[in-house]
Amino acid sequence: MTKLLTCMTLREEVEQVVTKNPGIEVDYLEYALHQVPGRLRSQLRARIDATPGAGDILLGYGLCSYGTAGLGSTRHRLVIPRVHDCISLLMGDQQRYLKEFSRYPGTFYLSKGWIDQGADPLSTYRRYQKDYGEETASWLMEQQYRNYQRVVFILSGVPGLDEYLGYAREVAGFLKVPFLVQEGSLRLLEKLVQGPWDREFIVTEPGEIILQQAFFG
Amino acid sequence: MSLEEITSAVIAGQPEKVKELTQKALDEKIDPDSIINDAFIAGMNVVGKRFKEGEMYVPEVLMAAKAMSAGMELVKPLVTGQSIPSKGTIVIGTVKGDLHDIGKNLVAMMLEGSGFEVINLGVDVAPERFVAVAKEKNAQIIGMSALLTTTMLCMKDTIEVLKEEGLRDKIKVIVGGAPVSRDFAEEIGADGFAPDAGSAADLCEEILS
Amino acid sequence: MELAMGIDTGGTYTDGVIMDLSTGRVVKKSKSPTTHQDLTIGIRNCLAGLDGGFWKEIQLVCLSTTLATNATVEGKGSRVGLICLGHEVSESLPVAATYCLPGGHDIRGNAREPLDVEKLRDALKRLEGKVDALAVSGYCSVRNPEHELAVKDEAERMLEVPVVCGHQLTSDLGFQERTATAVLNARLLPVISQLLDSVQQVLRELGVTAPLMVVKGDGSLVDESRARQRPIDTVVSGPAASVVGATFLSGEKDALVVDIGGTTTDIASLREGVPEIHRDGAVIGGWSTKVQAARVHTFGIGGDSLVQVKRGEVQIGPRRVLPLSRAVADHPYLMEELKETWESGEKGMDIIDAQPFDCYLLGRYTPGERLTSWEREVVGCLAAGPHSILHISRSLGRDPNLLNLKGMINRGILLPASLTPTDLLHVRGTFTRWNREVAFLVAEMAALRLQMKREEFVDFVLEEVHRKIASAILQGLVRDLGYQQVDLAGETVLKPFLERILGREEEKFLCRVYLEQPVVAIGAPAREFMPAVTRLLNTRLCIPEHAEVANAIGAAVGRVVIKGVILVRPAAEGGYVAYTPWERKGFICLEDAADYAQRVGREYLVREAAEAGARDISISVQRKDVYSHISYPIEEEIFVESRISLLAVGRPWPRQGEMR
Repeated sequence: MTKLLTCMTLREEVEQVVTKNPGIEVDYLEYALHQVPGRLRSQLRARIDATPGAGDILLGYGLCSYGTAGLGSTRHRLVIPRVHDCISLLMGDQQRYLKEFSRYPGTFYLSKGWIDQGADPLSTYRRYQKDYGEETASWLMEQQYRNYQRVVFILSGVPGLDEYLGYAREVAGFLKVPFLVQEGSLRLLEKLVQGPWDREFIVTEPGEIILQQAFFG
Repeated sequence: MSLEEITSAVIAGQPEKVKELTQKALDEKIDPDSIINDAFIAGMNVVGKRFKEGEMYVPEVLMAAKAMSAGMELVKPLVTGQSIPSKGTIVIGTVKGDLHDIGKNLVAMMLEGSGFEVINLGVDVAPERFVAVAKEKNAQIIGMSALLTTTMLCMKDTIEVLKEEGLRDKIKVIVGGAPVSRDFAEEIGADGFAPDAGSAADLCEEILS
Repeated sequence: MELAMGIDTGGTYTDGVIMDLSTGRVVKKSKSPTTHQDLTIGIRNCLAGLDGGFWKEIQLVCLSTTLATNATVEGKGSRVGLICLGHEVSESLPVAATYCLPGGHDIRGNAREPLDVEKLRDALKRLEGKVDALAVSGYCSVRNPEHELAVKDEAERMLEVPVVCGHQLTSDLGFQERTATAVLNARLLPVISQLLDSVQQVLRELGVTAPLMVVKGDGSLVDESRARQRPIDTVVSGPAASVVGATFLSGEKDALVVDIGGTTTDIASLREGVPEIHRDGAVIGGWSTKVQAARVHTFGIGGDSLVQVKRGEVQIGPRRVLPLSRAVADHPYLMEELKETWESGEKGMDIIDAQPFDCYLLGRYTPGERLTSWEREVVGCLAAGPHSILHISRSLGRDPNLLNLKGMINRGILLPASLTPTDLLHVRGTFTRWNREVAFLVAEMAALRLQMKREEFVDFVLEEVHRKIASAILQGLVRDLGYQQVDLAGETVLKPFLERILGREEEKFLCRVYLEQPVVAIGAPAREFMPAVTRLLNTRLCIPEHAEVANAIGAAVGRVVIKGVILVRPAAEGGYVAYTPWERKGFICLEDAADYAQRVGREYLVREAAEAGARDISISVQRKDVYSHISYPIEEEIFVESRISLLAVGRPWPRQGEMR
């Protein structure tokens, strides 16, 4: 039995991929664990250790702020896309992400999953308003988001994105930066599930661990 | 009054309260150095560690920093008058392609508070710029921050520029940021790695001793 | 029989050996003076001494030399022009002219600015006819050599001189050292070519058809065509060969090799049968370079070091002089002059920069070199033969304090003969090749100045010599540990300990050191000095047979060496990482990681050794676990790393295509 461990942020995209590939057990971990990389690692480690048998474990993650480095299993083979984070997964191609990044380092990416969890600047602002009041909320926003140059919404290939598009545009307006929509792709997630696990993936045999350096190779 | 009250107010991110308590401490003739070290920095140390552990989040850290700054404004004029020798000069910045500056600014603040002279180059700093400024200002340490796994390799570039210029023995390099690990720091040949803002100051003192 | 010939062209002597590699036996050995005007003469004389009808059977000829080192130190070599791209040199280099032009790259290999071809052509035009070779060095050229290569193309076309690029000699970062390496390499091109031409000519005359290889500064071998292009690699080749030879002769694999000559004592460490290498590149003639060379520490103490008695104290070295016993053996009348000094009341007088028994010989004098009228008088006085200082003073009618000979000594026009440890050995009777009578006389005179008896004085000075050598060895070991700046003798806090280690003091407490490695000593005075030195350092001494031709033996038995290290370290988030030269791999268990490292390490050595054309390869893969003690938060030993040391040593065997 193959298991897929992934983040709630990618839920819709992953669901779409696994319906075409039955026989994979999917386990979703909570949103935004990458913010505390140690916590992401310990949660993934616990799930890996608790997985019975000797089937492959697929990780629907990237390096995710170093949170997946150091993972390994004595019984399972681990497979993880050689990408930095879920933005590359949503775009379907790490190279494309890197090219975008080198041109516009200050991009705030949004997808359905990111908006669903309230991780966008507008939702953040509303929370700050409630917790700190108007003046402090504005100051906090300035501190956190002053360097962003644009907002990009990724059309990852799942249905029902129209209302999200409108909201994403609103976020860009709030930050006073240009708004763009880019086509994403489920290619990498599909390849994770179906193979082949070529250079775009890191595969560790039982006994080995995933190294951070492997993501840069 | 006790300095612990100030510390708690810093951790709780209450600028007004910190200001008020600091003034009171000064009125009671408590040594300004002690206020900085035992109240402000002690508080921010806790903040840095809690943030690392996921027990505090970005806005809370920012509020704590704001609280510390508010207190600092009162104390600083009293200590800058005395000619305390600087513990050393540190050039600090976020690496090329990376625009995150909250953590790096926090480190700068902690280092300044601990008595270092800090030259903050801001964000998106090219390797050559780190080296040129360190050279010009006779800095002993270059401190680099990266928040993205895509940009952290730029830290290595800076170390290599130092090698090419024959300065590697003269200028120490420390690195930090969420995705940066001790392994990574060793791998790129950095002299030190600090897991949180508070440890950065200790690290610098250790390196220069 | 499997015969190899080793030749060492040193500054003073050219040595040769024929070795049977199948038995390790020295079949023939020979020594004759190096002839600097025409190297072929000395090489021919030396090889004549090896003749035993073996010429056709010799399968390999290996050469080591100190000529490259000497040329660098003495500032000889061709006139070199330097073109820097995008950066200036921070320390001046031995060049005829430097042009710093726009160009160079950033650390990721992107051009920082375009190469300015117009300016380049201008600079080259100005260099035309003024240089014999050109060195090119670009900022970060090891990350992208395109600008250096473009300059090379243009320069070869315009100047028709050899062009050396920084990136071709090293792949290390470090603009200054890379540039120095390129410049020194360019300067040495004719020096090494001349030497190799001479050797090849003599070999042809003798009918030796075996391939010729050259010892590199790290003790390994390269074929001669590569040595012609990269003469800088052969710097320190002499000392490296002597270390290799000493190991071979002694059979020690881990040892400290101490080579005591007339002028200097050279100290090098041997690990697993190969010399230890400078980690960051060797310093040659005062210039930091990126040259991989044996780490040889040189100290100014030897058999012919000057012994001076000044104001009640004895100073030994670092200057080298001719031992008086030798000067008198060659020129017996000097004995009469010194007897006169002894009998006149002047034997005890103080002379600035000299001692009353000093004698002077004429040294090198290049015709055309300008001399003052006074200098001409001095030269005239010595034209027929050497004289004592008091004799010179009397014949020229000047007070001995006013002779002002220092400048002429520094320029090599005058050679001083004076009291040396070699003379003291003549007094003691343990080494008596030259004149003993003068040794007795001069030792007596010097002893008088210290109010000592002669024998007491001899013992005292020779013990100081032992201490100086022992102290030099300790200093070398301390530098090996990475303390480059520490000067043991200059550290006042160490003085009470050093005095006791060296046996000068015993009051209140004793202090001893115990060397980890045995000492293999070579060089003429080794037998006289080293037993006492190794007693001070509490270690075993080995003085091998044939030590006087250790360099040539080292060349003949030279090896192809491949080294590497794989580290296995704990990963920050648990698990272990194996750091190999080509990849990193992570494991959950240390044992899996270490097994992997040892397996791929062995594969790497086999592959590389085969690539280098070695045969009879012996491979060593050793694992050493390193622990560190910590006391906080609790007392414990923590695992630091496993070091997997890789070493393959093989016999050189040039492939068919490389045979001449």
